[in-house]
Amino acid sequence: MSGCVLEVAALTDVGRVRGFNEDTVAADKEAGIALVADGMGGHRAGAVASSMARDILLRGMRRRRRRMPPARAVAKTVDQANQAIYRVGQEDACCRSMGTTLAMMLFHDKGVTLAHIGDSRIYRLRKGCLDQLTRDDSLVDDQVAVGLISADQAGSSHNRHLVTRALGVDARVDVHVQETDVRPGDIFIASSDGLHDIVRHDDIELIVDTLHMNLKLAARHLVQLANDLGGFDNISVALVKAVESSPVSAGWFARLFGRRH
Amino acid sequence: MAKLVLSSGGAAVNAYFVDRQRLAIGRATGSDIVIDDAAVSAEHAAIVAVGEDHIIEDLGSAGGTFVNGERVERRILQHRDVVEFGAFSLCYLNSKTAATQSDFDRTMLIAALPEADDAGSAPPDAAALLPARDVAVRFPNGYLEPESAAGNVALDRVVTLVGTPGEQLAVIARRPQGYFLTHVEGSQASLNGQPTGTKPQMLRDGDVIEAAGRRWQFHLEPIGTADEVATLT
Repeated sequence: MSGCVLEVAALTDVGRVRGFNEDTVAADKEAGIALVADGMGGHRAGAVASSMARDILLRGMRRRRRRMPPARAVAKTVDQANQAIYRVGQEDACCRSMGTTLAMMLFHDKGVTLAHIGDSRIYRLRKGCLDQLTRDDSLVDDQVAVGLISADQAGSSHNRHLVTRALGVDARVDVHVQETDVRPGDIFIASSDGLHDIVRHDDIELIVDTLHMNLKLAARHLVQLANDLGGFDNISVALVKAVESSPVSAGWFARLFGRRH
Repeated sequence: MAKLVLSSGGAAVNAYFVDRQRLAIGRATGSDIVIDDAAVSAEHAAIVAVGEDHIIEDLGSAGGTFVNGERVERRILQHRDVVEFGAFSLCYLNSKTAATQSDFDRTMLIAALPEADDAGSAPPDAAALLPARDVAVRFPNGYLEPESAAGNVALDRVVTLVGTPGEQLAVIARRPQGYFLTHVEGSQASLNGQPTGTKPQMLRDGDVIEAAGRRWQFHLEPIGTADEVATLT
């Protein structure tokens, strides 16, 4: 990962069915952070939860990134966001039981730290091949995991919108954190279910691979296809590409992350 | 709440609410739904509720369990599915899932299945198999005919590049409403002799695209012959 610079793009769209957008996205190239959060809760509380998550996580990660190992910075900041959302949910009647999913990536000189909860996902495109790096906290996934239904029946389940974990619904949260390597040319993709529930895996792979040289356009085409196929939900995507740095920009990561790592 | 209507010879004979975790169906008198028919096993099938799903499961019956005429071991029931039991048929009605997807689709929290408590930490192989939702959308059919070379370029994927990376590159998106040409990088390709601009341009039959020194004519098959329905499963 040393010797790489990042290119980022993020896009969120209300879709074609919902009246408002409860997803949030962020992509901060300088800090090496990208995330997608899909809020849930009555009225517009979902948007409150996902916005709080985005703001607290961005602020916390920017601050802690240099001070502690990435996985710890992620765990601490996610916990902080969880408690803040939970507290508002407890205190404010109109935000009761709000929560949000999260798919977040923190890039550093040793690779990338991934955090996820709920049914937002993180994928990686490497050498033209798209792999899903996270497993949903969703009832459909559980049903497949315990053999209640087969994987090819999952598409006909009515439980697609039921997540088994979320940020901000409990005083404590178990977030899935993993570390993985980053190679030049890799593109990491965070998405909300409004995208990956409707756009086929093959088409996500094709669009990102085809338009890897223009991530903004790739994001636009992904969201556009989700809308063309019905746009049943809010649609969000954040893309981060690691590019081998030219001699001029070498040392960018050393500058960014200081000497700790 | 989901409902089951038992009928015989086209006439409804009974109705049941699916209001518990498991409903047993069979000839045995202790069954939740008793079907007195010689073709039905004593313990023939069960309907298990998981979240919003009702899953019918054959219990090793002699005659088998058929949903809409198809033999199944396990199947997630869909609104208006008909399950046959000898001379009887059981129709599954679920107004909730039949209603507009809009509200139904809203993300909500539910308890995990106890046996799958490590969801998320396990390898994502099962999840990777999950297909996207069933969608049927009609896409147009078009292709590019190169001006001075053989071999048409099929435009049968959602995106197709034209031009040369780094130099002059554009993308053609295939959408339900037609094909759109958009600048990607380098200098702008041209459409009918004009630069494409930065916004997507809808392509019309006969349009000429020029990128990185090559020219193509765009052909769009008339609507009506383009009867391909892409069912995304």
